[in-house]
Amino acid sequence: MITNENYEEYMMLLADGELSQSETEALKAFIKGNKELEQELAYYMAARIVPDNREIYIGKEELLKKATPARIIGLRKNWAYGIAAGIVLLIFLGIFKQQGGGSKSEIVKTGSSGENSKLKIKNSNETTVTKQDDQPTTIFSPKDSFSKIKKPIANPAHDLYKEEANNVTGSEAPKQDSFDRYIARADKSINKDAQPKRFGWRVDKVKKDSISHVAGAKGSHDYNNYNRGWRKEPVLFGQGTRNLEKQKQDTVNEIVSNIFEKINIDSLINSDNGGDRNLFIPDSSTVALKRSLNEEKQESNIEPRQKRNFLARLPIVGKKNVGINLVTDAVGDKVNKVRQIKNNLKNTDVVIKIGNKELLAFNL
Amino acid sequence: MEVNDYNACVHQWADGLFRFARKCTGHEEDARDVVQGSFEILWQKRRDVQPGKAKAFLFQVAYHQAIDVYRKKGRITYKEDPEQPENVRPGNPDLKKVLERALGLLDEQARALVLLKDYEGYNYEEIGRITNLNEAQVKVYLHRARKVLKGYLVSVENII
Repeated sequence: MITNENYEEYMMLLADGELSQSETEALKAFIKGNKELEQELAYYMAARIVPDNREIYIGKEELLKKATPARIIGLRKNWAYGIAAGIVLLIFLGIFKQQGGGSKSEIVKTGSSGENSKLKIKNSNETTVTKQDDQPTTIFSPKDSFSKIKKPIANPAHDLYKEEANNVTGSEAPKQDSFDRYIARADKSINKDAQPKRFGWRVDKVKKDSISHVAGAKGSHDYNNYNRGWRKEPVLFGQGTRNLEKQKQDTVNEIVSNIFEKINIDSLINSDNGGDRNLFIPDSSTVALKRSLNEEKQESNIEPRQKRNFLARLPIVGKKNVGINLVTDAVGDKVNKVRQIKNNLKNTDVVIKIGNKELLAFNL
Repeated sequence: MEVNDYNACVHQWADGLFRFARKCTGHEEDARDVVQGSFEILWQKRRDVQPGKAKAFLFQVAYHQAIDVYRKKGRITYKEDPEQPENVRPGNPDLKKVLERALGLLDEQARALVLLKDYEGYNYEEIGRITNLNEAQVKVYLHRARKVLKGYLVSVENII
């Protein structure tokens, strides 16, 4: 209720706009007829500050903000994130480059399976090798799986020497200097127009004969001595030195002949590399094709007995082929999976984020 | 609050904030500094401020900055007193000029309360949130300022 004690407060509330409609009406009714109170209310209402709208702030454009462009990642601050993103990018690029690089050689079969079909080996130089083949084949590209893989340089003479040494003694291979002497002796025997003979398991027999029949002989080099580390003064025992020399010469001739046979096979296998001794590791189909090519080439100028290569005579050659086939199949499957992933990721936007921070965005 | 919301606040509230700051500080350049500082803080805190509460946030920042400037101003002497222009003399019947002089009689807090009430139309509760006062304090301080203004008007009227 408005009284003489509180009417001034009601006037200020009215000036502040805090009175309701009923309170406003009550105040007006209270002061009605009292000029002093009406004058006092007029002063309170006039004491309100009215803003001057002509007074404006000049330079609002300085306060405006533009839409933020793409954020720049400071590698100095987030160097760890930058390095991680770079590694991921290099991995992606490496996979794509491996898929798209290398030579373009491929084997293509033309003709139906029942007819005389042709296998064509195409490479980047557009040289073509054709072969008549009745076996059904599929189109594949060996470069996809093994074009980048090379074995170390293989020395067939060294391999043969090791195998022979194992056959003789069953112990570890001789040293390198003894191997060189062995090769020198083999070359010497070639110059004497020695007749090459077939190499087999007779080395064990030679060793036994040499040990049992020539005990006590001295003054000449012994073939078996390289198994004992090539002593500077080899010791031979007993009689039959001439027989020993003859058997020794026969053995060397057999080894030399098999060396040439193995070199011939390897050169045929590595014909794609232009004589490079780096072995190209083909898959099973490529090996089969090249072996068939080798056999066809050897039919015209090599005796039937020499068509069997050296690896075929070893009892473990079958297991080796099975193992190689398993490895090549497994690697081929992995390569196909990677290629499939690559095809699925084409034209895909990749965004690398750590939390809410977008580190890298690119299109595959 | 996004960039567009912030720019809308600049266009909508910069003038009112400048007028409020100018009356609080009594100096145009100080008022411009207050406005720039208020919007700069709004930009820094834009992720925490909702667009609907941006105006109250701006006036709250401007109020505290204006108080600081006004208190600092007591130690600074201006060569030209903007509150004493040549065309404004005591006894000028222009009510607006009289009120400006009356406003100068108030302390910085009471002046800010009157300006928030008359310029922006905030109620007691909203003024209390801006000035960190409760509603009763706002009402008391504001009525005290009203009496001062009304008394000045009565005195000027009596002189004329």
